[in-house]
Amino acid sequence: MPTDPAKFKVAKEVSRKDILLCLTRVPETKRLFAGSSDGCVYHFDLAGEKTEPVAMEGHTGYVTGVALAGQQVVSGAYDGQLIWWDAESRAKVRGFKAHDRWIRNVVASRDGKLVASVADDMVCRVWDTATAKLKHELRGHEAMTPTHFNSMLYACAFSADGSLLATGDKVGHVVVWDLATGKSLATLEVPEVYTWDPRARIHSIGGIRSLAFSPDGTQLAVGGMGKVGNIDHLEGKPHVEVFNWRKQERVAKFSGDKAKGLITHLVFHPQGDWLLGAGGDGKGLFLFLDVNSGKVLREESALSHFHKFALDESGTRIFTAGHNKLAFWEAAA
Amino acid sequence: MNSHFCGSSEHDVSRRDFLRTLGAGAGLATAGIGAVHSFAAPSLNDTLKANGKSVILLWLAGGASQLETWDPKPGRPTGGPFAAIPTSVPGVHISELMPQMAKRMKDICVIRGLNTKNGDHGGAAQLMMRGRLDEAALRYPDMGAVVARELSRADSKVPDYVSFYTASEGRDFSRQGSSFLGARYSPMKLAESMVPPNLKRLESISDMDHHARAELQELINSQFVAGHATGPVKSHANAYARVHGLMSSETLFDLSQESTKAREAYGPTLFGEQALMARRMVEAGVPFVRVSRAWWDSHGQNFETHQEMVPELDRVMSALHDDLKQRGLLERTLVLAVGEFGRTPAINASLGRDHFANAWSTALFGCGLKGGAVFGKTDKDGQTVVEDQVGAGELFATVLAAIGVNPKKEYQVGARPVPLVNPGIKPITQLLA
Amino acid sequence: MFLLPMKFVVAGLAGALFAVALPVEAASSPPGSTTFFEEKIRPVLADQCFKCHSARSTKLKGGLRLDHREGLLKGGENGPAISAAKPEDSLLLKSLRHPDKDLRMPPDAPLSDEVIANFEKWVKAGAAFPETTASTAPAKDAKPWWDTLADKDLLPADRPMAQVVDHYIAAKLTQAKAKTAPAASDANFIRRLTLDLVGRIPTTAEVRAYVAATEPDKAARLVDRLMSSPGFVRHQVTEFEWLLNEGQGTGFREYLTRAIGEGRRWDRVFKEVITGDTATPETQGADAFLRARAKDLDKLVTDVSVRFFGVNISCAQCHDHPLVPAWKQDHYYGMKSFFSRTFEHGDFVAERDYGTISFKTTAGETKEARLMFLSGEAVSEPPTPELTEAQKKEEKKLLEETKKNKQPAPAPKFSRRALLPEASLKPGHEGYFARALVNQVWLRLYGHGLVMPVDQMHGQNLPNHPELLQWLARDLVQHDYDIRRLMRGLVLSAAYARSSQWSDGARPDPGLFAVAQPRALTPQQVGASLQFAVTGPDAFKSTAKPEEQAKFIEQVERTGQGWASSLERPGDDFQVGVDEALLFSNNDRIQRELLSLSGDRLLKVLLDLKDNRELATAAVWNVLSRAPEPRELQAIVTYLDQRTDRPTEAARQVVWSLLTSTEFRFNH
Repeated sequence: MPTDPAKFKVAKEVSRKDILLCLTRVPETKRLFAGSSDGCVYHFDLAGEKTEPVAMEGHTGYVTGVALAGQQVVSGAYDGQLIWWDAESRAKVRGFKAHDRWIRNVVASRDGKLVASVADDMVCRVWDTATAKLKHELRGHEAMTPTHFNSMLYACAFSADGSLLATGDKVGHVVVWDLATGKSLATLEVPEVYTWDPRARIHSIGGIRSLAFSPDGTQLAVGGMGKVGNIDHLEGKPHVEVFNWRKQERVAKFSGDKAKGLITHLVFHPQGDWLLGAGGDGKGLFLFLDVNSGKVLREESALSHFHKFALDESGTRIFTAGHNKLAFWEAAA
Repeated sequence: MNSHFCGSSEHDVSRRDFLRTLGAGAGLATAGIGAVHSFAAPSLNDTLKANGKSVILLWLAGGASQLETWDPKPGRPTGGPFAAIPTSVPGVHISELMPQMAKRMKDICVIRGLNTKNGDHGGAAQLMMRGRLDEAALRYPDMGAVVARELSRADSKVPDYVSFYTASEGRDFSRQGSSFLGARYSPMKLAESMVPPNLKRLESISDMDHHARAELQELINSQFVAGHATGPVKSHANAYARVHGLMSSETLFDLSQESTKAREAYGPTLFGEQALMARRMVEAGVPFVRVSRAWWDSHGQNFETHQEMVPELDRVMSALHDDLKQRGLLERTLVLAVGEFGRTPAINASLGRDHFANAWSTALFGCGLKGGAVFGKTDKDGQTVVEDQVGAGELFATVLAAIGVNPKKEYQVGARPVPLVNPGIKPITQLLA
Repeated sequence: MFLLPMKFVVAGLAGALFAVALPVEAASSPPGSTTFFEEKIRPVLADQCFKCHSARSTKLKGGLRLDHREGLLKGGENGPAISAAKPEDSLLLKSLRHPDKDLRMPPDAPLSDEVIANFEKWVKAGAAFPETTASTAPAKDAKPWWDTLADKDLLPADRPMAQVVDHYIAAKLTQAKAKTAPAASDANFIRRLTLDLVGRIPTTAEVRAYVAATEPDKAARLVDRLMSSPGFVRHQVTEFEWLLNEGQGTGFREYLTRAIGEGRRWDRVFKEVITGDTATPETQGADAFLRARAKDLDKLVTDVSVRFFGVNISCAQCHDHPLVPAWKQDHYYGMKSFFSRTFEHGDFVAERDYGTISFKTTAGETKEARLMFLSGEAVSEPPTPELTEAQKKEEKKLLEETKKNKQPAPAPKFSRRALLPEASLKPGHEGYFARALVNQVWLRLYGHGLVMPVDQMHGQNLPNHPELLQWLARDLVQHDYDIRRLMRGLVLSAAYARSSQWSDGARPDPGLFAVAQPRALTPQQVGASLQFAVTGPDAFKSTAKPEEQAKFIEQVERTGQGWASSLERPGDDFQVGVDEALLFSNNDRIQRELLSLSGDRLLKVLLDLKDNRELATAAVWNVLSRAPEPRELQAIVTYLDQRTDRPTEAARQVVWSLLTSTEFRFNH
């Protein structure tokens, strides 16, 4: 019986002074690691009354990627550093400068053996978790936009079996990589998520902000924001496209109706019941999407801007990290 | 002039001479030395450097963030994600987004204590362009018009005041103009096209006829003008007399005359090209050029926007600096980068910053301004000015003083003396040589 | 008292800031001194605290008043703000420094350390708080500045106006021992008059007919013919639309067309524009002036003063006028009070029947403004009603409803605004209005006002011909504020008809009216005149009925208006910009619209002429409304003769050089 998206309600909210930009969850628990605008990774336990955040200090910039890989947590930040932490002792294991420019996301394969980081140097680096050795250096994104400004590489995602990796950049270019060879298998273009305003404001907004493979690895969901009129604000409609990436065919295209803003994170329900996107325009937003029917199951504005979230194994709990806020959502039985 | 421009290398020389002559004419004239022989090339460049000053205003419309440029607060909750980097001036740090300007800091002045109070685009743009707010019945001329009026000369063959503003957002916010100084000092506005309207001769009229008919017009005018020698009448004849000079400055607007190296330095963006054009213009003696870069109004995604736009500003501004310096024009050209206001230290939920006029920054260089000087200071979170606060009036007065115009000078508007800046407003002497 | 709009507060602050800007040597004043208080403390109190803690607070916060010393000592709900016994423990100082945002004062942004230090010094030194000194109230019986002569000493009222003009001008010329320019030629005169009265150059036929006419009163006949033509109303509407409303406002042109078309009294027009009552068909559109300004009452009051009374009192907004002792802040705010209840209501202008304004004097005192006309006379009005909460709610609901339904708000029971025409037009006070109108019309016809600048009509800036202004104003008032009568009289004087040419050394002072002033054409005059200049002479010669002819003239005029938007409206010290010269030199509209070869265009007509002399002569006549001078003729013919291989282009360039000549661009 698939979880009815209508049943999700806020079960717990934690107010923060900082901005929580990313999170990862320890399986089968309510323990979270979240990256903060103050340069720390925080450990939270939402099981008890008190969340008892524990700060892990090491970065000197916004922490924008955090991934649990086996017994280790790997975080990445705007300072270009990747830091390995012991998940239990929360002690720093190692840290080094991994990219020349801002790291935008860090993800781990499900088995925890690989960690991937993407950054504004437009390179995706794949690391052996255990040794921190560089396994692949994936270069498939232009450094400059067609109008001669620096591009950005915001998003990356592993397939469930860990054999594929997808990366997506500011102008809407996606590359699917074969991790066995480090070669590109396919590319996709999603220009709708990038708005270059040549006339009124002469700069841009948007970009691919989220990617997710379907559980079977055949589909790839791409998230961001649709075309924007006034790029001073996040006023475009949330935008998600799903592809059969091997055939380079789009199978579904979703656009929010009520809420506005970016889709900053996408996750498929573990059983494939639905696809969940979250993000916002200052306010937070959820989009529950049915890829088969192409329908939006639920669209919800809530709390403040979500940067990343985690969905539990059963698909009944959502943990969100966002602007001044950490929250825990539960689908009522 | 057409015959000179057939493209052979021999004529390249005369083309350069021609440009020099243009500039030199204006420069020499300011010093009161008479006519210039067009072919007295070698010494001209030196004369040009020593004379007439110019201003290039890089107008950062929409409001660039001081925290992502000149007054970073790394590590503070308001600081945002960018680091601060050291500069060529020990102890002075600016945003990591400006590594090129950091290297040139020894030549740059930064004002970190602007408090201009007005956070509305239109009102603030007018305030910054005019140095004060209008009165209900008196509209003040803007900086460009005042500089044009003070530094141009009647028979100049180049425009007095050129304003580039290509983005449509905010283009009319500052309602640029010369007000009581008259149309002579209104900006030549370049919006959609990089070349001014009506500068090119119609194909249907030959160059010869174009000149011949002007002679005929002059002849018809001569008796009338002599018998009606009033200011307005003379201004009409004078406006037509300037037409051919201006038309011959058409090459000014032709960037293909610049070397690949120069074009590369400024970069391929519109802002870069217009800044390069501005350099060409001040070289030829245009007293005031405004190059607008719009639109910085990053209510959402402030950091993405600044990540995109500040490196461009860094490149263009440093290229302009180097170019002026190499050509020996830095001593007589003032470059000011400012918009209508800065942005809030508070970061909003869409990772944006909003309008903020209480504690923001600007940078300026050239014309003997004290390089490396940092004037004014904000508190640790950038919320208030805690030292050496200045407003739009002081900035306006400082620009005037740096180019040798006394800000206390008065215009007579009807029965009323109107000083160039409001009474009591003084230039920032600490920045002046 | 209704809620003070922010602007009023700001206006008051400007006063405060100005006060601190004056003495620069303030740093050394001791903290116990009045100077210290006036410079360092009062402005901050006014700026940061008075909104919530003073007589002018709409809602007094915490029961605390900070606008007098007793208020500070007595304190509010939390006790005294300053402690005389232990000054350093004063609540005032604590709240200025309080780290908690909710307890800090002022709440929005903490004061700078420097300012707080000043407060500490001030409190420790005993918190001196001098009583305010009021700015001198204007004397009620202040004599209007223009009373130069007793009425009986003026020329008799029944003397023809043109004679009166020449009498007074001649008297001054004699006194100044100045020479005068000769009378303008007939061709010159009809061009000038046609431009002034109907806004275009005359046709060749009109000029030739006038030159040929021999009647001794041909000038008066011409004036009457032009003033009775439809073009007169059109042109005067354009001019007054600019004078009053910068050529804008929905329905205003139609309103003025009705008013000027029927010869409406100008005091009535003034009344209708100020009250903005559009109830009757005749007054529809009269509210455009108010509509354009209701959002900005400072602009409204300044524009009313400048445009209807010839005084610019905006300086007195922040301080008593520096140049004109007669203008106090009381005048500014007195005038503003007429409009203080006016507000924008959707597409309409509405007015409340309650509400007053207060302002801040340079001494820092807050004063409630009294309804007062420029003459200094306070205007009495019924007591200002205080609204109950229920009434306020009721009002708000009604306003919201009418706004939603796009209806006007109900009229107030009593209108302050309607008192202004009454107060300013009553005998003994109407001089402001009448003189301003005379001066504005005079400036337009003579190129230099009887008082210059026209918005500086005051005792420190006397008229160049005071008796003449006085006589003309009296005539205007006695003859129903009839602007046609005024214009007719002014254009029939010998002074108006003088040549504008002056070759005998420096031009005399324009205020002597010894020579006519060349005046730059308005954009509308340029537009219409260009079309008349390039329309072949025969096009106007049709034997068609007069109505058809009038229609054709209107059509030609109208075709030219496309040019008007490209040109700047001339003001004082107008200068032609180079963009205009570039436009006329290189824009292909010139070729297409003015120099085309089609139909009845001048160029076509010229090319049909066989002889170059004939061609040159016809071209000069058509464009410059006169015969060519011999040397012009020779120059043009030489030009044409050298280009026999391309006669069309040659003729085209000749017409261009005439159209773009300085002579054409001016009314001379």
